[in-house]
Amino acid sequence: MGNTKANGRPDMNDANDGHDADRVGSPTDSYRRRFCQVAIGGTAVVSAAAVGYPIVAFLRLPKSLGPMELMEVPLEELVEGYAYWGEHRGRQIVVVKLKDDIRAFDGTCPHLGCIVQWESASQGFKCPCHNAVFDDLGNPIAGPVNMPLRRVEFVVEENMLKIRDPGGRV
Amino acid sequence: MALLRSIYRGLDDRYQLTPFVEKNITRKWVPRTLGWAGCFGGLAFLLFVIQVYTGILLLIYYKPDPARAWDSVTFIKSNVPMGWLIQRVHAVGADVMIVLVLMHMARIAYYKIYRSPRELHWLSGVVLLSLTAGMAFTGYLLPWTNLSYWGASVATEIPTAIPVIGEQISIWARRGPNISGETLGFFFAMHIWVLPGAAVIFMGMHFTMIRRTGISKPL
Repeated sequence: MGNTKANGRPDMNDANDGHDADRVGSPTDSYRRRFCQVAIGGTAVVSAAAVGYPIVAFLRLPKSLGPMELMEVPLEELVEGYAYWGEHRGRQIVVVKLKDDIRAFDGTCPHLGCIVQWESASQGFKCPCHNAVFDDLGNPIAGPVNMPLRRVEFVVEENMLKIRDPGGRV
Repeated sequence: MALLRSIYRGLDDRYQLTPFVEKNITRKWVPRTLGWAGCFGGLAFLLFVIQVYTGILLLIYYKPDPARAWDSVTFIKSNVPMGWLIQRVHAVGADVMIVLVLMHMARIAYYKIYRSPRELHWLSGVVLLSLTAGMAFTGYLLPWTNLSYWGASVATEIPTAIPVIGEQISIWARRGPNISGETLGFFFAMHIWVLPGAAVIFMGMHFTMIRRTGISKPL
């Protein structure tokens, strides 16, 4: 032992306390050192996992975030020359009523995924992001896109227009 | 392991990390008279860090709006994975933090560690106690339950006992005559930025001063 006070306790500034010089480097000492390393390291790993798991889990998508309902429109809501927007399985769907036809489209622009707008003046679609223009069949007529808007199936039952679409990405 | 070691050595060569780590952590000796009771201050700081982390996570879903606050907290507790745990840790952690701060102060008071040259340590600590209580109090309103609503009503009624200006203080804290959506927004801003920000500044002062004077040793 190093410096010892009158009360028998080692001096508080004695950094070498507990390590007898002749024991350092002995087989017992290196075994103890290894044991402490494994014990401390193991505790650190378990603690990190216990703290980290709830934090990572919290960032996963929660149950039922956002509506995933199927879209239905009462037929009397549709006005000739205008568009009706709704959400179907998380997709923006647009229904347009024309003089002799009703058409439904996925409103997502095939260029870079913005939602297009219906322009009743020109009876066509226009994308606000990069000025892609589509006609009333969803075919591209101007702008940076050469793909049509995706047509969406629907049925009419009891005066309700019901979208029939598996959803998912275009 | 060898990879990590070589990355550390590369950083160490450039930024001299080892002397810094040795001076502040691995070779920083504390008085051996320091017992377990010496941990309360550090544990209170650990709780503050936990509150910051869980608070950031709760912010992802919490809505500071009277119409949606309660629903958003319920959503966190029942729909978000591990949300119940994070929300509980944040709520219970506030209580634990107050208890630890009080135990820390009780020890400092009992051993008279607040005496010269450590008077400002104590004063900044008193400010930190007030900030801790303020963070707990403002956070209590946020779930917008009956308990939190009336708790905030009662506590903001207390300053009215002060003559002349008491009424004005109460109205100021409530952003109006009663607890309302305005109070919720005010408490929310206080809870997530103003009070924790002030706490970080005072903790910086507190810790820097302790580094300068060293940990108190018995006579």
